[in-house]
Parts: sequence; structure tokens; C-alpha cells
Amino acid sequence: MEATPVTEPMRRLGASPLAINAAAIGAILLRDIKLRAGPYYTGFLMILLLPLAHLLIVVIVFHIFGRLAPQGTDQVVYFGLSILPFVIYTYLSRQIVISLAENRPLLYFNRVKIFDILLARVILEATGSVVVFIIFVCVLAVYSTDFSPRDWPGIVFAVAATIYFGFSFGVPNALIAHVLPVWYMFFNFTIPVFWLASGIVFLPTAIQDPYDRWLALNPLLQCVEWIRYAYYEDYPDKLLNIPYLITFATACLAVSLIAERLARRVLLSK
Amino acid sequence: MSAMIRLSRVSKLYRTENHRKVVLDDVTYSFDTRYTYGIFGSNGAGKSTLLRLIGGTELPNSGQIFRDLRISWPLGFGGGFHPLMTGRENLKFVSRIYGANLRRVIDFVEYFSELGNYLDMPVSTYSSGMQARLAFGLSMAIDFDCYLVDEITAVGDARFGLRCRQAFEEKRGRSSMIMVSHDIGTIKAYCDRGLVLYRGKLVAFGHIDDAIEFYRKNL
Repeated sequence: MEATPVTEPMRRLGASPLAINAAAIGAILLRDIKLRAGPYYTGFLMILLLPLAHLLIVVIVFHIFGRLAPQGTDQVVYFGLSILPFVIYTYLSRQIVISLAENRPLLYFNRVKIFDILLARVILEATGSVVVFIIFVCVLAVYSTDFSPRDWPGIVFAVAATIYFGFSFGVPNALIAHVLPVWYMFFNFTIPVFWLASGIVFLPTAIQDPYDRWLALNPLLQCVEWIRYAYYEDYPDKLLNIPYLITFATACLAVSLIAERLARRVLLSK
Repeated sequence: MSAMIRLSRVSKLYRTENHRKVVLDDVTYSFDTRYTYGIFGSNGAGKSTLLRLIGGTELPNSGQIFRDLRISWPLGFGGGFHPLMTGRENLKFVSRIYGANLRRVIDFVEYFSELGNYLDMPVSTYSSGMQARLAFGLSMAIDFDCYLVDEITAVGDARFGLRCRQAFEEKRGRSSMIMVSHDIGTIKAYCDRGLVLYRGKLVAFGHIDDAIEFYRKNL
């Protein structure tokens, strides 16, 4: 049998750089979905169920232990909205950090760049985070005695900012961990620190000066405060500083982009 | 005007704890893609590194590499395949990256690799020869202006070897090739020009036989 000739055109016009990046990101995204979903597409539900279950279990534990809500009358709403940014941040940033290690062999294909891998992962995780948010809000609306947010757009923007912060903070950690694998361990240690320092288990405005201002430097605390401020009518915005949160996240991303460009030779040699 | 791959004062070195290995030492050379090139060098000379630099998957320590054409990844490489994904799923992934027609690539690889039902099995169930056939078939299925061929050894049976040679011949009229191999016969069969990577320098010869002679003398 003779070889079937390949009938691709002789010299195709080069695709634009944006189209090349989009193709690589799309391919990696579909690959990620396939690998995480397993042989059945319903496996994708696990990407949603894990953070949702985490959120619901913690809220239930707080309910069982009878923690009173410092604000409002419904403890499920208070703790649920407080923990939501933490869960979104934790799952998203952790997936960003491990994405390069999981997809390292893909860098051998010259069309695949480091940021293609990171962007594909954030698209997948951000989509999951949005779905988790929608489902959780529906659960709160059904089971809460009085679910009535003051500012719906504010809540949506707070969740979007949390996703943005999770991505922006995950990227530099991913780059560092790509060069120094021991950094994964360090990054995992920061998660309980964020849990304790983000005002989830205490009311940040009840902390005395100057310690409250130091705590306010934690961007995740800003996400928690923003979502509470957007929900409650009379929640104090003493520590809320949205421009700081956005600037911090953007600075992380900018530093990452610059660092990746400067250290690309080292990153690719790994 | 033919497309070019141009190395301009490229240096590449690797540092280990006790050792500094210079792979390329201030190399300047232009590959004219109207020709096919064979690169010789002793073990550890840096031939595969040179291919990765040309392909863009690794960066030099200094100097620049200019490309104005579509370059493949090193042919025959299957390291980007995920072992838990089937051969077909891996093909789809790579086809999407390079914007190739999925149906056409799959049809070609099905015929070329002769993997049959194994194409729908996880790559982890493949033998090394099957993985190489899948990778090689995929490389041939996607249209590049220049193919990078790294140490193509005999994979598969004589019939598969014949298909490889036919695929190379078919590509020859439309695409260039930069081939690295210890097999002088293979390089001589496919390459017009020869280069020898010798002590960090890329020694160029107008004819492949001259490169072979230099390589043999300095082994």
C-alpha cells in the first residue's frame, strides 16, 4: 500500500499571535477538562462539588457549634458569605500553582507558552467558582430565614475580585514553584494562615487599632469585608479598601509577567 | 525569497555543581530552508539542545534566534502525550494547538501508525515502539515549513520504515528538515547539507559527505 500523501496546503499564511495563543489556551483547557473529568463528562461535577462541599461542611460545623453571627440575624448567611471568598481563593490559587507542574511536558511543544497553561487553568477554575457562587447563593436563598442582599452588584464584584486576586496571587507562586518545587509546601502553609487572618472567624472591626490596620493589609480580608459590606445594610466599611485590593492583585500579576519574561530561559530549562 | 532560521551569536551552556558544559559558543549560522540539513556530533555534544533552541522550546544564554516560518517540535517526541489519555485524544490535543484539521490528522495517523484499536486505548498501555509510531505519525500529519528530526531510530517493522521514508520524501519538496542522528546512512539519504557540532562550534559543510568525513575524523 502506498503512503497517502498529506494534502495540507504548501505554505499557509501564518496565524496571528493572538490566534496562536487562543488555540493553545483552548486546547489546554479542553485537555484539562478531559483529564479532571475522567472517562465520563459528569466527572466535571467534581470540580464544582469539592469547593461546594467544603463550603457547606464548614457552615454546618459552625451551625452545630452554635457560633453566633456578629452581624445580622442569620448565622448561616453570615458565615456562608464570609467563607465563600476563602473557598474560592483556596481552590483557584492552588490549582494555578500546580498547573505548571502538571503540564510541564506541554512546554516541549513550541506553540505552548507558560502563560497559556496558567490562563487555561484560570478559565476552568474561574468558571467553576462562578458556578459554585451561583449554587451557594441559591442554597442560601432557599434555606435562610431572611436572605436579602443590600447590593447585588457589590456582591458580584466582590466575588469577581476574589477570583482576580486568587489568580494574581497564584501566578507568581506558580512561577516560583516551577523553579523551586519546595515552594509548593510553603504555599500550602499560607492557606491556614489566610483562614485565620481573613476575618472569617472574628469580626475585623472589633480588633483594636493598630492591629486592625495590619490585618487590613491582607487582600483576602478585603474580599471578605467587601462581600459583607455589600450584603448588610449597616456593616461598617472602616477597613474596606477596594483600590488597595485591586492594586495588590494587579501588582502581583504585573510582577509575574515581568518576572516570567526575564526568567523565561530558566523557566523553560526546567 | 526562501524562509530562514538564523542563529546570531548564540551561546548555550549548562551548569552543574562541578561542571560547566558549553553546548554552543557564539554560533552564527543561517539555515536556508530550501535545503535539508543533517547535524552530526558526538554523544553529549548538544545536538538535541540545538534542536530545542531552533524549535524555541529552550532559550539561549546569549544571542538571538530568528525564525520566520512554522517549525515543528522534535519529530518522534512523544513526551507531551498524557499517559491517561487515549492516542486519539492526544492527537486531538496536539492538532488543536497547531490549528491542524482534526479529521485529516486522525485519518492520516490511523493509516500511518497502524495502531488500530489501540488508538482508543490510553497511551500508558502502549509499548515504546507504539508510542514512537503515534508520535512520528502525528508529526508527519501536521504541515510545517521545517521539521526538526531528533534521533529517529528504527521504530516499527520494515513496512513502517518504508512509510517513514515515503513521508519524508513527500515532505521534501515542500518542507525543509533539520535532522540529528548518529545514523550516517539515514542523514545521507535525506540531507543535502551537513553540519558538525564540535566543541561548541557549528562547523558547516556544503556537501553532506564532507561533514561525514569531518565527523568520522574527529569522533
